[in-house]
Amino acid sequence: MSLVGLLLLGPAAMAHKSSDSYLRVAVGDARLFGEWRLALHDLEFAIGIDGNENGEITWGELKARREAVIDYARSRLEVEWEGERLEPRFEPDVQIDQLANGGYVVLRWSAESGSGRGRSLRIGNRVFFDSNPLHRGLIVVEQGPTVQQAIFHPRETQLRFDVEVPNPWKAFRGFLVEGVQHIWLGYDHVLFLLVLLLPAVLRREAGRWQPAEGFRPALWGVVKIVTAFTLAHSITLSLAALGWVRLPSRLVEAVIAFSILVAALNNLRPVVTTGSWVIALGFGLIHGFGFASVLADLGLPRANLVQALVGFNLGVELGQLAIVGVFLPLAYGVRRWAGYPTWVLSGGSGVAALVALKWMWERLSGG
Amino acid sequence: MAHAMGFRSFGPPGLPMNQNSVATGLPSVLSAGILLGRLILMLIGLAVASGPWSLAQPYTPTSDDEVLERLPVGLRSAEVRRDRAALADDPENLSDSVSMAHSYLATARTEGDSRFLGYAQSILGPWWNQTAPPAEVRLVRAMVFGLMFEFDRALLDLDAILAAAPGQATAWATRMEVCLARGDVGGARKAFEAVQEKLSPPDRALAFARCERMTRRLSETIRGLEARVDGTEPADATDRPAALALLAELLMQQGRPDEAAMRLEQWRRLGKRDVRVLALEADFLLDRGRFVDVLDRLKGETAHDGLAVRLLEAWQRVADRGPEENSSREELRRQVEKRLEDRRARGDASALPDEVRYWVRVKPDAAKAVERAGELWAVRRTLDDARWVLEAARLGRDAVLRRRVTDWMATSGVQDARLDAELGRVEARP
Repeated sequence: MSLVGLLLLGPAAMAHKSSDSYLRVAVGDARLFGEWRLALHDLEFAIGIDGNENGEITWGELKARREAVIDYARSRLEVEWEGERLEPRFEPDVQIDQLANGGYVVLRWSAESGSGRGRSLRIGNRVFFDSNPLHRGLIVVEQGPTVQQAIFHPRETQLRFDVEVPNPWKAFRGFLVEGVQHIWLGYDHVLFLLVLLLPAVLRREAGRWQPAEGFRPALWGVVKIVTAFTLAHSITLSLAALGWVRLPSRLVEAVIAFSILVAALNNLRPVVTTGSWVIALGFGLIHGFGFASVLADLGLPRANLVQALVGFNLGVELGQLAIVGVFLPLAYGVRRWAGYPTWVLSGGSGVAALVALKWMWERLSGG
Repeated sequence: MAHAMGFRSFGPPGLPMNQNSVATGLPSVLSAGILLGRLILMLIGLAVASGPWSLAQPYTPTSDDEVLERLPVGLRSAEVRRDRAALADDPENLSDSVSMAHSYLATARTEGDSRFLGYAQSILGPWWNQTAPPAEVRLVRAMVFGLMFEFDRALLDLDAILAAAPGQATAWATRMEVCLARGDVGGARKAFEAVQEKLSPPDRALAFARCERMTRRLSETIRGLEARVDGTEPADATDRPAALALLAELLMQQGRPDEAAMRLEQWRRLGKRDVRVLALEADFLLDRGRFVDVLDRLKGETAHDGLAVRLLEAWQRVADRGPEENSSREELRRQVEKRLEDRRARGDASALPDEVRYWVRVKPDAAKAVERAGELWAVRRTLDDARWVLEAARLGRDAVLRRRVTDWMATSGVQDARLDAELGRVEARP
């Protein structure tokens, strides 16, 4: 035998991609939702997909083998919840996920428990172990913001997870707290809101700023801005969280910084004087995408989607109201101070504009 | 793109940004309405302009002809399919199973694809877990263990083969490689001496060069390989690509970049594909600052972690090419990091060289780089590993880690211009 081919020359000799599948299970109230990504390469080796044997797997070939793929996956999955064996129901339609290391078919299933609730969840997964003993099945079990991760391998095809007895109210509360925390820790959202609110205790007359005459008009201005911002970001947060609209996160982050710049410049050289709520409404749309990315990082549960979405959104609103509750009385109290337009409004807006420029630069350049 | 577009389109048409709408008599609500319209247009523009935003999101293809996956040659060739079908009917056919396993191993090497190591193991399933399987199965098992960085298990199998058949040339050659991977130059030389008489002249030349490149006989090995590839001692068709690639590597080791470039160019003209040589060439180009050339050579090579890390290294050193490309790069970086984390979670030590490079060069993180480098050095000690471990030690200012490498260099007497340059950088640091 010639050894030429055997010699392991070169630095990349042992750097490979590996065979992995990804199973995500969301735990809901007496229901489980599964999303399973299986590599087309692995499926080809296990059951054969490439019908015309030309070395390329097309969507048509996969569709022709869709039932075989689902049968194969189903035969290698076991679910038991509190001792009750469940029958996962696979959705007949499959999707594709193109990752940088190849194409994956995405299978979705759900399973319902007759008894309803339980703490002990056992999942068995033997996918691809007979065709590739080096295959590993990565699993994530999500229950609200709680995430458990584990790996299946040929010597450990059964894994047990402790799940809490599903409690939609608890999930709701968890996401509500996350929403409050995010608005408080998300400096860009707070800064945008504050910059919009700075002129709310003033009115514009003949090109000059004057103090608002009473609390009612100031409050009305704030209510309009906050309502517009809330309405706008609720819409896009929901659209993005449901996966209907998606924008690249870096651009979203850059436009959020841009929104602060615009609001700050508008304070320094007013273009929009009585309709600041329109800026809140317009840019609120893009802030909603920012909130959605946080929600996605928390792992949006399919099982309690509505509770999570409403809880997180309400948390954002509560956090926002708390900011307004502190800001408005303070600003109203000092609105008659002659230095307010110069030092608070212009000075504050100027600093906000500089910060916004810095963030824009960082977010666009990836720094 | 976003800021420029947003800024220009802001405010009513024809009105500069700093003009007051009240002063022009335009009602502010109308102005605000136009503003909102502009904002929505801008959002739509962003969505359209940012092409790859759907990357990594499940989708339903619209055409039956859409190609979802291109299979490597090792999986799609008619011959492999026919052999697999035959083996499915006769899974305990030892000689056919071993031959099939070797063909999977060949693909695993040239494509750098560990899935084929698993296929080789599955083909040998009837014998794989035996304490003393047939020698030919044991040899494949040792090779798989070696490629998975499980060198102790590989040596157990190789020593068992050699105890029963001391003249087994392939086992000796594999032992030499395992010793080299562990940085055991003495063990590698012993294996070479045991096997050299049994090797054909091309194999002997390559094995000699692989072994002696670690010693002070580097110039001699280069001359030997030059003689083979330049025709003084003609190399045959199977020998020449491997000899050219090794020669290029040795020339890089000796600090002769122009000659290395020439050898790499000769290799390219052979029209072969081997991810090991692609990686070697990428490293050469990265060292020369030819980042755009790296992007060109590694275009589309995102499936292989080692190549993807090199691609990212080059990508972040070229001038900013706009948000769209930044977004693709960021998406790839995120995916590669996740893949490396997954490989770590599954206990795959063969990910360590890629991990060290990633945490040193792509996303510098001193703590992670030093931790991974320490783990790598405990398992494998090649010249390339030495370089990345030294870079990690420099990043983390870890003198102990650096000393572990320099001690090994002194003991084994290796010469390498790239390691010398790296050590110079460490010493030059204030």
